Amino acid sequence: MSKSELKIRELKETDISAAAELMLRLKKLNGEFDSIFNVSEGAKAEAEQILKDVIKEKTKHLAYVSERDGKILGLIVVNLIHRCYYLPEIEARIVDFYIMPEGRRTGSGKLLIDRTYKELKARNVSLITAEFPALNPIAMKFYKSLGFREIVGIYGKMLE
Amino acid sequence: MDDTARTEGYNQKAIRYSEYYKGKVQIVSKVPVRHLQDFSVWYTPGVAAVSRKIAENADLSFELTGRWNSIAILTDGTRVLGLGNIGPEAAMPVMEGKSLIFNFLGAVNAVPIPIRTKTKDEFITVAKALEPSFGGFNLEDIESPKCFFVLESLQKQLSIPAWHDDQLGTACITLAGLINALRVTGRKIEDSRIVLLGSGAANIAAAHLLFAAGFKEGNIIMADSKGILEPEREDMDSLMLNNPWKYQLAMRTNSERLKGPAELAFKGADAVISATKPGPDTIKKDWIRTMNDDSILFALANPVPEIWPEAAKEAGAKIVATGRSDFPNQVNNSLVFPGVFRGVLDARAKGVNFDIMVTASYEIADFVKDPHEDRIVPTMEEWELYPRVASAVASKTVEMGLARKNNSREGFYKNAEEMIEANRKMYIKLMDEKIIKELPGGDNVEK
Repeated sequence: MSKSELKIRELKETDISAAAELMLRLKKLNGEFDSIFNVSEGAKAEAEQILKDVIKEKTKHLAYVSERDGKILGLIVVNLIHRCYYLPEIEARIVDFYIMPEGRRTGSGKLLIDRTYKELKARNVSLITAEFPALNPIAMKFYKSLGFREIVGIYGKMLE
Repeated sequence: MDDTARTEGYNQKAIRYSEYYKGKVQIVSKVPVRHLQDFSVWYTPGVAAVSRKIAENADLSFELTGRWNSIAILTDGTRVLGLGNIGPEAAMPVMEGKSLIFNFLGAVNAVPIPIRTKTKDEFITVAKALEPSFGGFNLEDIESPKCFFVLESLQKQLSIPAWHDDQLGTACITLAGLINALRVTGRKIEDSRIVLLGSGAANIAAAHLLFAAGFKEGNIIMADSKGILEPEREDMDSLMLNNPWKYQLAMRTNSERLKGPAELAFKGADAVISATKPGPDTIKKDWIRTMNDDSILFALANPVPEIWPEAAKEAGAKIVATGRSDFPNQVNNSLVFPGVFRGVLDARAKGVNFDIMVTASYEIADFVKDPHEDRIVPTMEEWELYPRVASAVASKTVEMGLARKNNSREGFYKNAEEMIEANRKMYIKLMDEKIIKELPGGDNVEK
């Protein structure tokens, strides 16, 4: 059985339920690394709402999916943020990036990143960042392999 | 006598005998001591010459000392029998029992070594430190998934065989039984659809062994208490981080990507190998009814199988195996590890792998002449089994380039048979002479 080709395309309205499922898996994975990311009950509905906004506000977000045989296997969501005080003025921040287990180690993550780079270039955005739990070594390794480095630290603690 | 009363009887005897004998194994010398002058050879000064030779070539430790026939039974006591994490001291009676079986059936000197380690890395450090004293390691009763990590690391890092009996021993006898069950029901390995119910140490190893034996990866379906294992299951990320062995198998097995509760996997299955929680209602008759005709069921939970064999047969199973000796087809590790270790030790093996295990499984399966539904595996009383398995394993070890010592198949067989025979004679002699004391309270007359 040969697998059909993996397609990378923009996120559409009809993808929202499946894509929100992937976002939820990502949030739960964050929780595996660090209990401070304990997923709330309403997370799925919130993910769907966020994705709707992402699709609507194309100047503020980018979102792509990887798809095979009509099935969503990967998702990347990027926020375009205005930076105060610094240049360049626009920062593209990867806020959600998830690949289903079967798509891992196949280069499909890289394809989503490449597609993002291409769009950012077209929009003259020159700074890309990624947000993920400090205790997630897989993400750290992945972004380091792409030439990212640590630029901001957010420290936190639970108050008694 | 019902099961509970019989078990209680064994329990009471075990305590009483342990108080009486204070341990089950001891070191017995194997060289003559005619007078104290002999120590000048066995010990200093003569012994220094032997040490010098080994210092020049460490592999000579397999020829000039007892290393070649000595193994360590290593445990951290984290998963002892069905008792859970009871600690290394409490694991000792079990390890002594294992040592006794190793010696009685395989003529192996097996030293029970329960160790106090907290982490997997600490366990590995201790095991590696003990390597120079032994020709092999048998890991025992270590919690999952720690056991996978420890076994994998030790197999990579040691130059002696590392075996985890709860994984490899069980997988090996399972495959042997399955080979004969497929023969009896006229099935082919490459066409058979196998369900592994329960994804703990035994079945994770069984999956790899089935791959090595030619079963198609996609035809194997694994399931656990959360249902059928498949790449989209909700807990995949958690497994990726906490049990990568199970995670990898979720990718490789179940090509039709069946999802849902475990019982759905029974539909259209040729064989179900169950190593889950004790029954008798863990597996339902209705599930077995959905299997293919002449189905095969291994219900391996102890002490009570997942379903009673009679009930499974009523529901259509043609062949049923359990872990118990009071039903036909006892899938019992003791048919495997004494012969396998006799074999790897006789070949002075540098390691053991799935190909060698497949060879052992076929040897055990082939040992059964004219297998039928009530006889797919040998029984422990069949003495010729152990040298047969030993010589098959030793020869395969040579073939795989993992042996330090070469011999013909016949040579290995003869050697193993002589050793096991001589060892048996020693037991008989020691018992006849009452050097091994009779059982206390007149129990010796009981057969």
